[in-house]
Amino acid sequence: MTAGPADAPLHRLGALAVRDRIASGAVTAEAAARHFLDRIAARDGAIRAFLQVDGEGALRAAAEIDARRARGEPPRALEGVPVALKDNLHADGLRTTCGSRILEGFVAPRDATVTARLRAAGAVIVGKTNLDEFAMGSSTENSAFGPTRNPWDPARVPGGSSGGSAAAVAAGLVPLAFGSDTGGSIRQPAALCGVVGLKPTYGRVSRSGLVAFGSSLDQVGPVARTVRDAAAALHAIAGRDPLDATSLGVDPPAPEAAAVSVAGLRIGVVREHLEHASLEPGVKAAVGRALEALRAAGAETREVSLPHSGEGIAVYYLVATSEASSNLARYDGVKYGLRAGADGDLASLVEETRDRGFGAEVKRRILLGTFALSAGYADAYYGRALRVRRLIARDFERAFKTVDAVVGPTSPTTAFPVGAKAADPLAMYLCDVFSVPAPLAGIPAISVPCGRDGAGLPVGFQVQAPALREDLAFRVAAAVEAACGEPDRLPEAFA
Amino acid sequence: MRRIAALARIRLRDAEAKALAKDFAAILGYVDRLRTVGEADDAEPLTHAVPARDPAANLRPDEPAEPGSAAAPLPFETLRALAPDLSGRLVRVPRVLEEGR
Repeated sequence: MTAGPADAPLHRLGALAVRDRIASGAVTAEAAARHFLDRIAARDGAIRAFLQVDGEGALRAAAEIDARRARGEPPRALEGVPVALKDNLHADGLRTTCGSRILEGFVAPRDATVTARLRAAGAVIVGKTNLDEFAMGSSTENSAFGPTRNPWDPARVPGGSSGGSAAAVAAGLVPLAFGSDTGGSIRQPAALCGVVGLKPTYGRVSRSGLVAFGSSLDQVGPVARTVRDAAAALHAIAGRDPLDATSLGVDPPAPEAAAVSVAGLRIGVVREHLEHASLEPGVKAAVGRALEALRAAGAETREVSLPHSGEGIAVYYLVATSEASSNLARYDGVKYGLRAGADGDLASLVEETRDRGFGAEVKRRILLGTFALSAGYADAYYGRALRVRRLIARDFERAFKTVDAVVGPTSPTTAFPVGAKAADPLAMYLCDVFSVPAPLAGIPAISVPCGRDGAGLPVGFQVQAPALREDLAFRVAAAVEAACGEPDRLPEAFA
Repeated sequence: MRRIAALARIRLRDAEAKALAKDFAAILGYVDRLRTVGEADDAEPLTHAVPARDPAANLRPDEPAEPGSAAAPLPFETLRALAPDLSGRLVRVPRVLEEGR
């Protein structure tokens, strides 16, 4: 589906619709960039999705695109599309903060591979979006630079950790943004903000230039207004990269894959997720309507069981924190970023830097991971978690023998009030109950809007597919979007 | 708590240590459920969910990358701008060894 009729203002359009207007000459890349930069300047104050806006760089890139067009060069896949990057992805010459004080003054020395590929596809980088510090959180309240708000209701969180990217797309401040997903950090905020979010297969997209959190789980993916836009974005960024040894040399699906009918597909509905105690009735009802729509479109739905998915949160919060404790050891005040305590000895420099630089949740996770890996406990905690992780992956393998995709709610709740879970880390972790199994198994998963709850808040529908079968996830998500989505709708305050 | 904090080079004030001990009790109490998953005893630990299709693709000739290519190390001038304190081409840190040792 392409968001917006032909005369709609640019900010109601999805990425490919903006691209087509530029490709057809209806609007210049520079005018498009100015339109979205003006939107950000006028409206971001209400939600604070952006940490940094690079107006000058964006206008320069847009002018180059218009010059290419004037020379008659063919338009590229994302020609002139303004995009925002989560602030844990490097863009050459812009600050990368990760929402943390510890990266104070850090300016990215080069593009992430994803950023370079986006530029090569014609995208225009307009800025960097807010996140939970080092992508650790489910609400974008943990940023050292203050929380981001949900554009549908600024008293509520946008989800996290890619909350800035999701809020920016939902508010029409950019037609496309990128985030990273370790345990749900693209899909959960996409669900809570009423936009599309894709976590690709592990290895589908290079992690080079993405600041590491949980290296066996981290993947970069798009936040978009439509499924087809997400498919086009994946196509632009995917593929083998010599700078990431875990990247796979497999061609991504063509964006047109999203247009293939679901007729004849077998779709598994996760029993444990639809019967989960924390599932809100409004979410369950919206997911039920999406399942009805899939059946009406010719798909067959049947119940499947993922018996170990209930252990996902426990596994995730041991594996991800263990990997984080190792990855974040590099922030020591020596080579880059914040340095504090330099008047003492080296040990106090490291400790003082980390004390001042890291926020409470990051410290909590580093300590949890350090504990889970420590001598005498590693087998019982980290080792045990990896064994149960195997069982979670096997559950999916078994399910995919009988169905083409596995579906359910993305998140048990719609957007919750700012502050509601801030004092209870475990309650916050449980937000990710439906989203952690996919990254633990390495498989792709997409969240697509499937309507609203009784309070009018968006509900996300999750589609999980076998490794490297994003095409199946796109097909199912596009069918839900066609029946239940409203991709050209903006929150009233952002219309 | 103190031992773990020392390993992680994280400073804990008394109030923080107390609050964290409470969080840890709740979180570790929750993850203890993994002990009761009987099938896990015989499961192979899963560290990497999607293995490389062609591990040999990660092998490379043992020679420096072309200057200017994406695989080339960042030039000194670039890294210098990021370092908090430099002495010539070296990053400066507080003295590690005492005089005379």
